[in-house]
Amino acid sequence: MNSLLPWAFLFTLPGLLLTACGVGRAGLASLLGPIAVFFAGALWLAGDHAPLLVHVADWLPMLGDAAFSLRLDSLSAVMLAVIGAVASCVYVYSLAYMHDDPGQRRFFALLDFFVATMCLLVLAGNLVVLILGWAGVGLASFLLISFWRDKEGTLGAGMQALAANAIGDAALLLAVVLLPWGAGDLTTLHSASLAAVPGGVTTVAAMLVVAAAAKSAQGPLYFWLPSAMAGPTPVSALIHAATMVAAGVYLLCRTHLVLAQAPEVLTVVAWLGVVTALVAAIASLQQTNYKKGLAYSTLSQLGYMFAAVGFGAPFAAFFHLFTHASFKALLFLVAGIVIHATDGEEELGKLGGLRQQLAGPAWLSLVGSLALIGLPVLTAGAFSKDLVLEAGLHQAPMLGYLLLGGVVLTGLYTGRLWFAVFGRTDSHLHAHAPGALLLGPVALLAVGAVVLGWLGNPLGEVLTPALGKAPEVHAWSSLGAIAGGLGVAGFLLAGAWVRAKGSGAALPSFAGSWVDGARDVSAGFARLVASVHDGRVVTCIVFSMLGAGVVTLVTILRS
Amino acid sequence: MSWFLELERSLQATAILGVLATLVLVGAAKWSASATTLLGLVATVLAAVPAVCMPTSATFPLLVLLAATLLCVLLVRGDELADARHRAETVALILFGSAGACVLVTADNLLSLLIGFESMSLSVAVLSGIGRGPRALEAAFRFFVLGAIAASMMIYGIGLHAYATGSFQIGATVVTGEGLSTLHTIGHLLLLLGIAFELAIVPLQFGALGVCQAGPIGGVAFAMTVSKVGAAFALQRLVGGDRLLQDVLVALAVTTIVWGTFGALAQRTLRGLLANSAVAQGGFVALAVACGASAHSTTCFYLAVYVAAAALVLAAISGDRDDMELTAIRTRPFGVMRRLALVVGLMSLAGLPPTPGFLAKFLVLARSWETAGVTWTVVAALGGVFGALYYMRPVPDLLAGGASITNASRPTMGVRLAIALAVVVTTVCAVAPHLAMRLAA
Repeated sequence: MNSLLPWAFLFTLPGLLLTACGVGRAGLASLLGPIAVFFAGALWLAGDHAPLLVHVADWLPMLGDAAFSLRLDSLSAVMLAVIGAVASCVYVYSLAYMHDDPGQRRFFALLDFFVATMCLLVLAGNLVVLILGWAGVGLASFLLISFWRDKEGTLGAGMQALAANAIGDAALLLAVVLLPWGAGDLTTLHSASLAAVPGGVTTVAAMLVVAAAAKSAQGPLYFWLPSAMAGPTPVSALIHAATMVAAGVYLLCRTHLVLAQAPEVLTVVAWLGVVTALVAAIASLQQTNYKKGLAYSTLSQLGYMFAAVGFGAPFAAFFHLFTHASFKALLFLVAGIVIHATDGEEELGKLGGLRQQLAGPAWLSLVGSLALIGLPVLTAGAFSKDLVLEAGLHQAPMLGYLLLGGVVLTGLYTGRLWFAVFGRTDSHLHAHAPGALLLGPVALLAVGAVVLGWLGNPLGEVLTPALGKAPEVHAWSSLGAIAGGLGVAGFLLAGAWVRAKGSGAALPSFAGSWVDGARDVSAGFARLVASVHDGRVVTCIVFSMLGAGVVTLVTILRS
Repeated sequence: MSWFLELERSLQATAILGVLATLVLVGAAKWSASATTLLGLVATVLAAVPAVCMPTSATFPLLVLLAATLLCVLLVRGDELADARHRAETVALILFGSAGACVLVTADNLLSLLIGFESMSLSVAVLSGIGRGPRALEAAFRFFVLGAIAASMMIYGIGLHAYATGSFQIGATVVTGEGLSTLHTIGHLLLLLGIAFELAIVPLQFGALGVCQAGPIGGVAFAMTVSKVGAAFALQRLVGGDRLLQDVLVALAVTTIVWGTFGALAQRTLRGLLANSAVAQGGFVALAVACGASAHSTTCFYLAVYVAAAALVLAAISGDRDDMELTAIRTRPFGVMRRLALVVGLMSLAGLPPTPGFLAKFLVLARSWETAGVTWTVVAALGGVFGALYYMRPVPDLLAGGASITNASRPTMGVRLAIALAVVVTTVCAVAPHLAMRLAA
């Protein structure tokens, strides 16, 4: 039985085939996949914790040691459990959310593919297999973001995700290509032979960071994640909680031994994380769209995780990823309930006053919001954020204090979103009450948002072989109390702000983005190339002869 | 028969293809179109027999070439030609062209190389010219003129090579004399540029580009697959371990990848996109070739995967006479089989997992790092991954489908067979790439 567990990435494929072939109610057959994935992770964690390896030698004989290698250890098992749990909730929720959508079979088939590729990514035993999952996750997210083709802007949003992923994919491809042995064991990447790489371990570490930043939308590669809100809300929940953006943090945690050999890269990662955490928090306060506000909050929290890796505290980063999965999925699924209940309304200025009509979701959302802020003892977010802040204050005090200040911003943006939607009891909107299929998974995630923090110490023990000795997780600490107090203060301040300015209260936006400039330049160059291919024989001859002449001349000069 | 058995495998294949192509032409007026297609298929299978029975290093390239020929024959459709009665001639031209490509694959003599090149080049020109509409004729004319320029470069190159070495053999050493070494280099460079025309390498990409945009699907398939396979292996032998030529080819290959990528990004039609992407794919093939003989199995694997992916895409769009606007692709009456074939083909061409196109591109980049160095490899990798931006543009619409699926017409038997064959190759290369590469090695 145990020998099957490393193949967990195949568990969603029967559901995919049955759903795609039209067997049974759309999505029901698919539901078994993520549940099986969850149990694969849980079974391993309940066992003797011995890593399970699959090694098909000579899979790519041209590449030295490029075997097809799978590895189920503590890190991948916990990830499988997280992916399986969040995905199961999202699947059940989607049964109701996508019920009237004519493309629901395609939707569930794509979800199955998404989960399969994410599982392959976390089960990869070497970089080549990881790239398969890595690129597959990017492809699946593109297809899911572009799912509603009748909705304006979905293809563009999907393309943005694909473009950001392309940068990450290229970096990861180059990392593999640079390695003397092609693939390398994922945990160490054959550390001894890294010296043979031009630029040494720093080059490979930098490539890994670029790849992770693209996947987790950090720094200048942030642009695709807010646009990805064009996709169905359950997809947003999955992307923001357990798949896709989690992949970047997972990669950094998995390769932390390699990163530790490149301290200058770790410093960059810490700065990248802190800057993203703060700038994304401010950007969230500028959004007038409910889901985009949440999207920037994910960016900010991922910044905390990146910063933790940069501080040399991979367990803190992973623990925050673990707790964040529950409350971020919760917040997105509640957003979906609100949007569903108000017939597609996403603008904060037009929402508001839904607390009475959507009492259940409002309270559940409050639990998620407080977990995101990090209310001590009562919520899971406090446990993990406390560890990140501790690591920051210990390793790089200035960055640690910046992150501590960032908690106020977290309270502000979380409070603004909650009060804008649920803040009052009077609403001109008529909201339909959500059914059990929509509320049930959210309630389950709310339980996770409360209790998962208490799993910190056992999780630390389990993850010690993969992430090193974990610090003790405290339910209460003075730092946690200060951070929680700052977060709650921000939350209440946001309530006052929304009461004063109304649901549409937002900071003024920044103008422009580097992405627009890059798109214009590449479009201009593409038009230039197309203009050369004008179909005229004279152009063809002149271009060909001139080109051949230049090539010949340059070669003669070089020979 | 003994004289036949003593011939090289490639020449046996060439002879079989040539004889049966002639037979098809002779019988064209009397036989039905299906009979000529069937004979074309039989010819291709027969041509593969000598290579399979007595394996050599050229066996795998020949098999890829003949598989590509088979797919081309299956994709020939009468309704895409200026006159539906030209179907038999189309099959005969494909066989003649493939015979030329077989020569290119194994020729070690430059004159044989030229004959192979000309047979292939003229076949492409005529295959495009007998297509429906003035654009096909224009593309044929353009290909013919540019092909003539490429051939003249080759002839001049052969002359310089012969002058410097006193031989027409590839790999002949330069005789002692002042300046002969430079002449020899120029000669080889001109030969490289001439053959690069068939691979659609920048700056000689215009001919194939036009054919791919306007020709009938059978002709397009030939230009995109058979021509590229033949040219790739000819270039591989020509470049060999010559460091200077390798550097030139690397530079041209990466330029071609970037050029084709930007060209495809500007396209609004599927035909335009595929034509420009074929240029970028030619760049990747050239990059693999530039890595020398040690990358032979990588080149073979890349070409096998590419031929299968191109066949899937071309089979899916065969029968559609317009350029296929990308914005309207969702409403086209494509059935499930054609949609899936197109999606898988585009994904493989884009180099996305789980299709084997990913492994193929990955292997080429891994090889190129050793030969081409960091800068060129980084640019090629970026070109490769950004290729997904244009290949994937129609995919959400194709998957969305909707009502148009129910109105779809059933694909022809040839198209179904081509898709089945391409799916088998794609699956084997995706699941067990080591088998394909061992065979190639």
